[in-house]
Amino acid sequence: MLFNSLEYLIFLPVVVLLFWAVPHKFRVTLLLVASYVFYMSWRAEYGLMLLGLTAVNFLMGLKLADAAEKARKLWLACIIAVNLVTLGYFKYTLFGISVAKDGLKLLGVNWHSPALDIILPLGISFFVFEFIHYAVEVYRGRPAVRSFPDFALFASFFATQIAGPIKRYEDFVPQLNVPAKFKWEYADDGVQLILLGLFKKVVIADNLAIVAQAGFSNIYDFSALDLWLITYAFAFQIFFDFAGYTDIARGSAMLFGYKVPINFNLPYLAANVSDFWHRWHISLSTWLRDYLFIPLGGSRFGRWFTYRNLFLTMLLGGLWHGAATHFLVWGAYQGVLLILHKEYLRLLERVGLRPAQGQPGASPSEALREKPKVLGRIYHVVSVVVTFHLVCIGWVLFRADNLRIAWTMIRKLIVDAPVELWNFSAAKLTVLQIRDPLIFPWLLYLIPGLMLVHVLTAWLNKKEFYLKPPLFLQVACMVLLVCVLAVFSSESSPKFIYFQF
Amino acid sequence: MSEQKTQPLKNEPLQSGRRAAESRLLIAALVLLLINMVALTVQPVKVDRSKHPFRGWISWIWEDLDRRADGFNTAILGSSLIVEATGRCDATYLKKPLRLTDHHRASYFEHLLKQKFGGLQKSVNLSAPGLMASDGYLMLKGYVERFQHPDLLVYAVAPRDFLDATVDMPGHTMLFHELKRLTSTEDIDHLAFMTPVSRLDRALEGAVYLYGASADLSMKLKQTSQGIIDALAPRPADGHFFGWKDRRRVLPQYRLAEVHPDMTLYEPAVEGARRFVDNSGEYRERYGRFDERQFEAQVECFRHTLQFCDHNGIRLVIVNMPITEANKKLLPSGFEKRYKTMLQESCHQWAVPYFDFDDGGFNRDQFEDTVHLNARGGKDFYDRLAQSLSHNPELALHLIDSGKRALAGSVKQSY
Repeated sequence: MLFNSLEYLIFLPVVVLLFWAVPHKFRVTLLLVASYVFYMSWRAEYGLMLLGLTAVNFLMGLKLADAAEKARKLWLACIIAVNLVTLGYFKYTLFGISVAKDGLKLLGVNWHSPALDIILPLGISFFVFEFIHYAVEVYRGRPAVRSFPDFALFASFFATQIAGPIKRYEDFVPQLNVPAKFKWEYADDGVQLILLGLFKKVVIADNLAIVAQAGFSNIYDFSALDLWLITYAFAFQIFFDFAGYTDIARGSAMLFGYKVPINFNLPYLAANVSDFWHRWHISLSTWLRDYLFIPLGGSRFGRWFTYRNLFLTMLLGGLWHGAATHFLVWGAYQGVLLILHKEYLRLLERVGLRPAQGQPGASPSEALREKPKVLGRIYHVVSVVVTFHLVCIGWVLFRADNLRIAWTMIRKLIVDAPVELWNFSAAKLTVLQIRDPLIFPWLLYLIPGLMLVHVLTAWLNKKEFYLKPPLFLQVACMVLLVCVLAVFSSESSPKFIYFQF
Repeated sequence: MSEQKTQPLKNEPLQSGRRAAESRLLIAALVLLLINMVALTVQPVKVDRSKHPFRGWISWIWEDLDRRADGFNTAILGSSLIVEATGRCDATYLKKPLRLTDHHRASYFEHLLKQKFGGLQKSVNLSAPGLMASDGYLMLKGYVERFQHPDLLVYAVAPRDFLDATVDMPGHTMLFHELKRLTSTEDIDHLAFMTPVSRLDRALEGAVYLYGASADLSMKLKQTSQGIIDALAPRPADGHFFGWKDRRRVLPQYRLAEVHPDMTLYEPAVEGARRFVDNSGEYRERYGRFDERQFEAQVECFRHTLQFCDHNGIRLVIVNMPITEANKKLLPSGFEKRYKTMLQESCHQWAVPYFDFDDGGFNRDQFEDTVHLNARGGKDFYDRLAQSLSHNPELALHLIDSGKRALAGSVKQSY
C-alpha cells in the first residue's frame, strides 16, 4: 500500500476514526494491527519476519537491560549481530556474491554462484536501524521498553515503517502512553502535511523523474549543459520525493497526535557539506553519528583518526542506501568531501580568517560577516552554490546505473560543460527541442523556481511565519492542493525512491 | 559531523483548544464541497471527448471515421489478431504500404463482398490491438452512438480476449480508459471494476468533478503550458529535431498506449519471403495465471455485445480466429474446450452464426507468429469468411440487400 494510493486514502481515515473512537488502552493494539495490515498488504510472509525480528529484539533487549555489567556487552553484541545478519542476508547477499564472483574471475576462477531469489523486505534498513539504536541506548543505561505492544509499534508504526524517519524510542514510546484527546489541530496540521507531501511527490518529483530517467539512461543524447539541468532535476526529484514521503509520514502520525522527527531542513541552502548532512535525511545522519561515528572513536583521537572515522561512517552510510558499488563510491565521495571541508577550515584558521575551533563565529561565513557585511553575504552565497554543485556531482554517483555511466557523466559535467558554456548556443540544448513531455523545456524555469522556494521558505521560517499563518491562507492552500492533486493523481504514480533502501 | 548533539528536532507545538468551527480542515472541506457542486452543475471545461491527452488507437479510429463521409454496411471488431491480418492482407492487395492509423477498413474483404453479393459494400474496421471482450462491447456501443448501425458486424474473437494475466481487471486496459470517455460504461462497471477500491475510484470519477475531468483539464493545461513555454523558451530553429522515435528510445515507458502512425506501417508482402517470430514467451505470461473472475466478467461482457446487437438490429457473426497449435499448448488446461463451448452456447442462445476457423484449416506458413496471421493467412482468412457468409443463405440475402440499399443511398446522395 503506497501513501499515494487510493487504498491509503481509505485505510488512513478508517484507522484514525477507530483510534479516536476506542478507549486509550486499546489504541496501541489497534495501531499495531493496522501497521501489520499495512505491511502485509505487500507480502504477508514478510510481516511474520518483522514480527519475529521484533520479538527477538524485545526479549534480548530485556535480557540486556537486566543483565549484570559483564554480560551487557555480550547481549549488545548479540542484538547487533542478529540485526546486521538479517539486514546483510536480505540486502547484501546478492551483492556479496557478485563481488566475490568478479574477484574470483580476476584470479582466473570461474565460480558458478548459487541462483538465489532474495526479495528485500520493505523498510528493513529503517527498522533494523531502530532496533540497533534501541539496544545501544538500553546498553548505555536508558530504561528498556517492558510492553511488547509498545515496542512492536515502535518498530512497525505504519506511518514511518517503510522509509522512516528513523525514530528514537525515547521520543516515540512515551507518546503512546499519553491518554490524549482528539484535537482539531491534529487533523488540520496532519492533513495539511499529507497534502503538501502528496503535492511534492505527485506533482513535482514524479514529473522530474521523467527527466532524470531519460537523462541518466541516455547520457550520450544530451549535451553537457543538458546534463547539468538533468542532474539538477534529479537533485530536486530525490529531495521532493523523500521530503514528500516524510511529510506524509509526519502528517499521518500527527493525525494520531504523535510527533515523529523531521528529516529535512532546506538542504540545498547548506553552505558546506557538513552543513548539508545536518539538513539532509537528518534522522539517518544523526543515527550514523550516534551509533557509528562516535562508537568508532569519533573525533577523540586526533585529526587522522577522526578523518578515518568520518570516511568509514560515510562509506557505510553509502552502502546502507543500496547494495551496489556506485552507492559505496557515493558514500566515499561524501566522506572525502567532509574531510576536505575540515582541512579547508584548518587552512582558514591558519590564515586567520576563522577563529580557532570552539570559539564563537567559527564558521567562515560568520567570520567574514564580522568584516564587511556585503563580503560575508557574497561568501555565503558562493558557498551555497559551490556546496549545491558538489552535492549534485554526488547525486550523479547515486543515480547512475553503474560507475561507468557515472564517471562518463561527471567527466562531461566537469570537462565539457565549461567549453559549452563558453560557446553557448541554445540550438545545442536538447531540452529545448523536446516538447513532449513538456517538463524538459520547463526545466529552465522550474529549477531556479524550486531553488527560490528554498530561499523563500528560509525567509518565512526566519520570520516564524509558520507559527501563526493566516486562516485564509491555510484554507486556500488546502483547497488548492486538493484541486491540483485531484487533477494530477489519476494516472498511476511510481513508488517512492527511498522504498528501495 | 560532530559529536555534539544537535538541537532537538523541530516539531512545531500544537496550539490547543481549536473548535470545530475554526478547523481549517473542515472549512476547506466545505469550500471544496461547494466548488465541486458548482463544477458538477456547470461543467466548466468543455472538450471533445474523442480527444485524449495522447493519441491512442481509439482516437485514430474516431478521427478517421469522422473524416470518412461514406457510409459503411459491414463492421469488423476484434483484437490485434484481426488488425494485423487485415493490415498485411490489404497492404499486399492494394500493393502499397498502409498506415493503420488512417486505414480503418478491410479493402480486400470489401472486394470479396462486392464480388459475392454485389451493390456497394463498404467496411469499417473497429479492431484494436489488445481489445478484450469488455473493450469490444464499449467500442461497438460508442461507434453506434456516434456514427451508425452497421448492417453486419463480424466479431473475431480469440482466447486472449477472455483471459490475459497482464491485465488485472477489465476496467484497467488502456482501451477501456479511452473508451470510457466516449460512451457510458455504467452497465458493465460492475464487471469491469472487480475490487472495492477500483469501484470506489470509478465512483469518485463521477462524484468529484476535478478527478473525473482530470484528462480534460490535463489537456487544457498542456495546451496553455505549451503556449507559455513556446513564448518563454522557443525551440531553436537550427537545433536537431527531437521527434517521436527519439522519445520512444529515450523514454520507452512514457505513454505506452500512445500510437504513432509510423508504428502501424504495413508493407506489401514480398513473394517468397518467410519469417516466423516465436512470441511464446509473451503468451506464456498472458495465459500464465488464470483468473476465473476475470474470465467470467469477460464472458458476461461478450454476452452484452450479443444482446446489444440483438436489441439494435445488427446482424452479428462470431468468428473464432485461428491460432497455432504451439500457442494453444500454452493455454490453461481445459481452457480451449471451455472457451469454445462458451462461444457455441452464447451464439446458440442469441441465434448468432458462429464460424470456428480454428479447426486446423490454417497452418504455420500462414502465421507471422504464434497467433497473428501473415499477409497470405489474412487473405485466406477473408476468403474463407466471404465463403462462409455466402454459404449462409440468410446472411447472403442480408448482404445482397445491404449492398443494394447502400448503392441506392450513395446514388441518391450523389444527386
